[in-house]
Formats: sequence, structure tokens, C-alpha cells
Amino acid sequence: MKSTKILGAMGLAALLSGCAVHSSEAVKVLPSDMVKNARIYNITVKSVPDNVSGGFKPELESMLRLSMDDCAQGQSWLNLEVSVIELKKSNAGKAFLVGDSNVVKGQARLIDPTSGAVVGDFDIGYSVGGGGLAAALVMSQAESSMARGFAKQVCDTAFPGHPRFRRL
Amino acid sequence: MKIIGRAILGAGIAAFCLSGCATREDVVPVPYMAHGGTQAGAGMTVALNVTDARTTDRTKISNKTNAYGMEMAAIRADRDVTIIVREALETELKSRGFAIGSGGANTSLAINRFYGTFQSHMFSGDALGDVKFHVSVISPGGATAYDREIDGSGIEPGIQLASGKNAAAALSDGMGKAFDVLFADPNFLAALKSSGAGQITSSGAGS
Repeated sequence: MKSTKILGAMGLAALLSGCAVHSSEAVKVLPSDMVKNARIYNITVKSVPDNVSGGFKPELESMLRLSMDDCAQGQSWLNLEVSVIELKKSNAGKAFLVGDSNVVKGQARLIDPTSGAVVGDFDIGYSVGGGGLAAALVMSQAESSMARGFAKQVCDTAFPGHPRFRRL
Repeated sequence: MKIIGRAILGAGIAAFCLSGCATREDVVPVPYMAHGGTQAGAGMTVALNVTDARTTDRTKISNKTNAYGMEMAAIRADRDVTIIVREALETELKSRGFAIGSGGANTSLAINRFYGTFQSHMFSGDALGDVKFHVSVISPGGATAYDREIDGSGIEPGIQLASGKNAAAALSDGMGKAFDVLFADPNFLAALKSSGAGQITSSGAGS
């Protein structure tokens, strides 16, 4: 009976051990009036890593558009420029046996289109990791889930406190 | 019901242990000891200008990672990265006989990357320091006498913790390797000499 309980606890632990964390930080915080009043006009993905497929960039652009339309609903137009520096994809076998992670890192800049000034500048980092079958399955669609995670992070970091992710 | 509650509690504790969460930030010094070299700059002064040109990971020098390789809490340097690199380069120049001050060759160093990562193996791990500089020497007339991208890959091998101290050691090693490459380049030393690395004339020189 005791060993059954221990095994049960370990099984639950294995399922629970996966999680998502962010390491995003503001290098230049968007002024509070802009946080309230901003709306994103142009979204430009300036660069993506070499190890991603051709579908990653349009998917990221689409996720960023959804995310920005949700969290920046003001009247003052800003442009968003994004560079993705790194996308580490998990290895399915390693994820199943010992655990692994997907990691995406990059930069997001909010630019005032009238002056060209950078009004907000952010380092974006997002990781999803875990071990076991469930984690391996969740992490198998790395590009799609990291595009979504990156877009959420831009929203969370640049526009804290706003309603978001209704469509993501 | 009691059994299920205990199982969930046990699972929570085990999950916490398994996740290896490193959620507390580290603020650490990045120590540097000059590698030194021949006294190529005896009696000459060099003006230094170090700028931060990093495009990512601009507010930290590393991140702690958990067992899955996920980025956790930030590791930050206790001083501005430009000051750390400037002092390290000054140390290298002084160890070769150069004095630091105005009136000499104008050396600019842009920090493009200064970030530590962690690699895990079966029984231990390595801290890796990724250091990238852009170094240029400008003559008094404004002409570029030297221009080069310098990389240094530092390592602190056999570590047990993805800690700030280990990241700092790897970055210090990376910085040293980058400066080794720089000072081994005869064009750099030639540029310093030809670009007006003048004689020490003031008491402030070399401070």
C-alpha cells in the first residue's frame, strides 16, 4: 500500500513537473500614458534564427497581431519591431526520458512613427520545459508554441495590467 | 480522502524538487586578472572609450537554469558591464606598459555580447561565457587605423551549480581570451603606435 502511494505521488510529480517561465525584462519602460493609449500599427519581424522553418515568421507576425490587438487598444499609433535571436527546440527523446525545454529569446521595440524615437525597448525570454510523455507531447510543436509565448510576453512586458490573450 | 490529500502534497513537494527552480537572483562581481604580455607600449598613452552595444540580454549577464534548461532568475553584475570591460582592458594595457589617458591613440570597444550560459552533463556541468567585442582604433585625423570583431568563448568546467559565481568566472575567462586574441594581433599594436600613442606628459596619465 505504501509503495503504491509513493508511486502515485511520483507519477503525479512527473505530470506536474513541466512548467513555463519567462525571463523578459524592460530595458526602456513604455511611459504610463502610452501604456494606456497605445495601438499598434505596423508589426515588423526583423530577424529570426537560422534553425526555424519558413512558417515561423508569418506565424509569429500573426500571433503578435492578435496579442497587440488585445492588449493595446488605445488611440495613439506605435510601430512594433521584433527580432528573435534564439529558438531552442527540445529533443523529444530527451524530453521523455530526462526532461528538456523549448526556449525563445529576442527583442521587442515600440517606435513612435512620427518621430522615429524608440519609446519602449524590451528583452523577451520565454521557456517551456518538463519531463515525461505529457511534457514531450506539449513541447513537440516548438515553433508554434514559442511564437505564441513570445507574443504573449511582448504584451505582458510592454503593456502590464492590460486585458489580453482573449484570442491567443 | 486523507490518502489523496497526502498524495497530492507529496506530489507537490516532489514536483518542486524535480523542477529545480532557481528563482532567486544573483548579483555578482566579475573579477579579472590581466594575462599580460610583452612591454609593447612602454611610455605610450591610449585613450579608451567603451560602449554597450548589446542587442539582447542587456540587463543581465546570465540566467540561472533548471534541470530542463529553462531560464530562471537573472544573474546580474554588481557593476555596469561597460565599467567591468573597461577596467579589464585597462589592466591588460597597463600590464603591457601603456598608460591610459587622453592624447594618445583613440581606442573604442563596443560590447556586442556579454552573456553566460550553462551546459549540463551526467555528473557535472560547464558554465560558458560568450563574449563579443568590436574594437577600433581611430587616428587623431579621424581615420580608422584598426577595426575588428573579437570573440571569446570562456568556460568554467566541472561546476555543480548554475550560479552567478560560475557564470562570472566563465565570462571573465571569455574576456581574457578575447583580449588574448586582440593583443596577439600585430595590426592592433601597430595601429596604437601609428595612431598617436604619445609619450606620457602629464601626471594624470596612467591613472
